[in-house]
Amino acid sequence: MVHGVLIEDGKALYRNRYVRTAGFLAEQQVGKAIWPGILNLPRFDYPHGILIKNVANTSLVWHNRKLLALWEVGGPYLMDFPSLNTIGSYSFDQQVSGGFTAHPKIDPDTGEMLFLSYSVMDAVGNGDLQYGIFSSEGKLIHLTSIELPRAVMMHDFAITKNYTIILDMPLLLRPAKVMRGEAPLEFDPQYPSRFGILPRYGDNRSIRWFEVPPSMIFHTANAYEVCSATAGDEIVLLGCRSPYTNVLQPHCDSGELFDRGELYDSDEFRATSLCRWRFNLASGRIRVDPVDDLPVEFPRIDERRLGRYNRYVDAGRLVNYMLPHGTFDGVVKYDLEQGTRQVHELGRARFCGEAVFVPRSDSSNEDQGWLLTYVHDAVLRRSELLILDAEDLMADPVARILLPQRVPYGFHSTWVSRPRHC
Amino acid sequence: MDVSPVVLAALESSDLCRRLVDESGQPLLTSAALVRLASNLQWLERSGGEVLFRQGENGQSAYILVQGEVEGTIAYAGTSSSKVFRLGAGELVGEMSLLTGLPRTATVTITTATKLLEISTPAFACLLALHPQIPEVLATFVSEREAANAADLENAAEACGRNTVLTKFLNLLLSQNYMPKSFPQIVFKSSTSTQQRIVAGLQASELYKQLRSCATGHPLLKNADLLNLAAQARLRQVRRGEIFFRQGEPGTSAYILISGEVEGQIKKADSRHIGEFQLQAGALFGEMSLLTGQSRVATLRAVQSSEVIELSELTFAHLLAIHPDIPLRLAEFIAQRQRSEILSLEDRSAGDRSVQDLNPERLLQHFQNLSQRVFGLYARVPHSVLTYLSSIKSEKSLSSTVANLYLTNNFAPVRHEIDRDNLVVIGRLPPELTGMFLRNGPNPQFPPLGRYH
Repeated sequence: MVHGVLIEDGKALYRNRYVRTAGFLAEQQVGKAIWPGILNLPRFDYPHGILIKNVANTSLVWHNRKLLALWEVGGPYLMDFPSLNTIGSYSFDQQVSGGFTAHPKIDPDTGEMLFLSYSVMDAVGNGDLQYGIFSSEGKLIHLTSIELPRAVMMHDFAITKNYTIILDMPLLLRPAKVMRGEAPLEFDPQYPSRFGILPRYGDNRSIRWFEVPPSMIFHTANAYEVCSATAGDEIVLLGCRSPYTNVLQPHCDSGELFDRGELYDSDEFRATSLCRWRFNLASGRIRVDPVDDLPVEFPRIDERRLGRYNRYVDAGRLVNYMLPHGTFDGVVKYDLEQGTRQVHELGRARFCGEAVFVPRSDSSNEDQGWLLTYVHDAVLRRSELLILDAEDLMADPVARILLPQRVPYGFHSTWVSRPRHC
Repeated sequence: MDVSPVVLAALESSDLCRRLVDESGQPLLTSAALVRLASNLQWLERSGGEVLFRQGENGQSAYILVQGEVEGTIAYAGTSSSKVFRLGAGELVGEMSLLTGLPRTATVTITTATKLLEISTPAFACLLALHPQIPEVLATFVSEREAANAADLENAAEACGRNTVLTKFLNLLLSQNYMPKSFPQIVFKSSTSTQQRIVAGLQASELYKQLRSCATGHPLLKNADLLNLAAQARLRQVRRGEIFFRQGEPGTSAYILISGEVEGQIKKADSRHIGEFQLQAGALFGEMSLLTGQSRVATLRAVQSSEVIELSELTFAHLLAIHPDIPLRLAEFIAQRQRSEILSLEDRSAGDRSVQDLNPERLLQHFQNLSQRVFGLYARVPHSVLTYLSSIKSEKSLSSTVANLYLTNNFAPVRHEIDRDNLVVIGRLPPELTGMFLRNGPNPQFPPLGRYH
């Protein structure tokens, strides 16, 4: 379901709509669920011709004046803006089929949209990943296959001005395990974490792989290039790293991996925090430094800086005492130049979702603008849209828009500014 | 945030703020942090002759003198002698009552027209949490000041050492709903002898021995955790024959026996004596009433003079939050031990306690309730509960448990698609902000099949 707040002329409107996928419509007709979620055995009897229901529930992207609802296992759904009515499934005029990443990257200068696509059900043997680029007008200008040694869940990637960084983390896709009643996803620390760096229009031959010990990255914040004639050019990647993950199967934690002694049972090992990787393209060396040890996720930046040097990263502070899965009890802003952070404390029993940065104007500085996020007050059982001054998170909110109904915790947020669709 | 520049300037030039610097003399508070603190302070103006507070009164505020002068008088009981002191602009007054909760030790009178900033308890907690080094720096400041004043105070024995002050800070933060995890900055570099005894007592307890990692066998409570707990727990000496609590009384404390011996007696409603048991050093007792809110099921009496650690609800909730595996290990420990006690009494009736409460799952529920009560958390099944459930439950009930985790409270789907304009706005929407904020998320229209995540 998409929850939207339209802000215009100092006034606000709330609107929520289901993404009316094929599976949704079929289930609505019979009045009950037909397909189970992806941790279960798919419907091999293909009711309505559908093996796995596309839920299109992970994120939204605005590109080429189109609003798409995304879910990486299946293709996008096209939504009407700003009515939020579902137009239908969308294959970019038959240019792409199969899955489509929930985190495509839009180059702020060229307007190109870079994406990944992989298929969960074909991932029986080796992984096969499609990497492609749409022009700002939605024309497919690049599509290439990237070979992976193992089929993995690949939730996000990163771009710089000239390069693309693929994250091959050991979160293995093992669809066959579902047949045995086990979960089809497993973090297996016997494999390393690999970063594939290729030129933007490169292919499998031009990719260069960097390996580090096993760790997990679900979301990147940004990446950029640092040129140095003496030390060699570097790619810097910012993202949220955890030594291990159980995010999709909290009930399958500990167990085998603990028994094998391959995981440390410590506070730290589940924590996800902001990290910086430096890949030296001349020497092939990698440096990994934690930016901070505060548990955070859903990192975002000023998207005008995507692929370029960025000073600030915003994220949600994970409520660690409420494991297994994250809600946030604070909005964090990192100043990477100063090495400092600011936290907007939401206060007692108030939790938020992903915060999105909206610049004050096209030409304003990197942190001049607002951070927007939905907040739920668990005591009052009321939701609101919180608007913070991104320059000073410690200040009182700029505004709080009280919402007419509860907004359940969800995944990713986006902002579509008015001038872009006018 | 609306903060008057006058307040901000007064705060910046105060003694307190000048103290808040790191080793290299750099301020610990950024300008944004100062604004945040300032917005929590109350501006007061008082004229000459007015009394700010009187000795013996209760008081929960400290004050920064912005302008003017005050005079303090400490009167000594039973004599007509007194001690007078003066404080001027920039100085801090009244912080001890805020920290200790004890009555004012002096009467403070305004001498000339005076402007003050009032620091309430929540404002002080906010200050402590603004930078990791602040508790340390303030503890040093306050303890130095108190040491200097000690000679003038009657209860000089109560004069606060650095650790005592840090302990107060810890309790203050807890009472203001700051979670234990959000103030790891309070580090007890050295400990008082009482704290050391409590730490040693905790280390020798059954509880500590049971709270071990399933994987490595290492204790789940680290030294820093023990010190933090010791700072909150109370050490109590109990004379021979003294009664801790009686059956049927309400009770909100649990105890750990450090030395001595304690005897328990359970009687039926008709007062017929039905059983007794002995507790040895290291035993945990009294935790069931703390958890369930029900009355005590037994009368506990010291057989010899004994020493115990008293754990309040707050301390117990803190213990549960230290490591995600603690709730489960503790539940298993309590269930197993209580069960054997109850079973030994079973032939003579099991008292009021239903055996149901001794099921680890039920105990975990009690833990959740306790944490919610104390920290005001939005209750959800913790990680350890899931691990536990996955080890004992059938696939079907596991699926529904996990599904419920993501389908209840604010994970529950909403049913209606609505449009509503002219929403209520607190604050003001910036005119330049024009567009639509959108967020995607799961919202199943029907109860899901199979595993749901």
